[in-house]
Amino acid sequence: MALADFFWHSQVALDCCAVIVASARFRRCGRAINCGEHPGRGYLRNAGVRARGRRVHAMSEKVARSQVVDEGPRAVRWSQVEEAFYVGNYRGNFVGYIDRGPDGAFRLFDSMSTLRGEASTLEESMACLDALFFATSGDRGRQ
Amino acid sequence: MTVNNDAASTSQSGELKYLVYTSVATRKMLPDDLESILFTSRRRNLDAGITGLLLYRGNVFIQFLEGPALEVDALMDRISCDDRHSRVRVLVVERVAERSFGDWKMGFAIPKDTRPTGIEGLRDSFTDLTGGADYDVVRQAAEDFSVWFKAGQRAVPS
Repeated sequence: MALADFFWHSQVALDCCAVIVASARFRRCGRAINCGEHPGRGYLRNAGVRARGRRVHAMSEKVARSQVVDEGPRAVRWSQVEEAFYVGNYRGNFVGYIDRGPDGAFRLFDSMSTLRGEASTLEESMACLDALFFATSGDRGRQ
Repeated sequence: MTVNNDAASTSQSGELKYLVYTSVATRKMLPDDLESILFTSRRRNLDAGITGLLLYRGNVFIQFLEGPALEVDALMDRISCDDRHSRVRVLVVERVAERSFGDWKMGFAIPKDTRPTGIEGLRDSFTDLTGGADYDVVRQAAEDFSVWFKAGQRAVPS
């Protein structure tokens, strides 16, 4: 991973984590925000996920079903295991999991199964864990 | 819930077989049926040094077994002849150095059905596991369920 690339991903991860913290604060106040409303690189990252999602939508249903959410070279494969529980992996490496609580909030756990925060949408949750994974993955991210 | 000393020593020697299979229940399993299966399997597994996880979703069993190869093979022979199981399909067979479910003689859980999320490309682990996908996809789906089970165990207050 190039040094500049590492710093970019680190910044994305920090942006996302900041949004998660902010989101939690806002939720306590009865308001909700997500990465998509947050200016900066976190916003761009999330927008990228959505843009790629639209490209997937244009494919046939059979092909689309076999795609991962992020089609880029760092494509994380996200799966729903049961209602409200999602697991991510990147080429066999565990990225983390997302557990939606009874209150509707998505709780994010990293590759060490450590709780890293909450998000208000599943897409935001996946984008944040993706960014966190690649910011901290070292050699795994080079593949 | 821990395995016996023989099982632990087998684990240390690195000669463990890890196997995942699915089967379709020949009839609807009632809570008493599942309890009976678990009671029997936990008692036998303790003696055989087998650990693992049994999942039941819809009418499908998904079982993870790990232990000495001969014991796992013998258990699979019994399961194949068990009239509660039909369409037994062995999905994953590997030799592993350590246990994934060392704390469980036989864990048990009933995953809820998945639901559409509207997110394109999001996979369904149950479909991947049971739908005849290629080996890597099936293996990853099995791992997904393992992560789910362990996360659920961590979430249970001690």
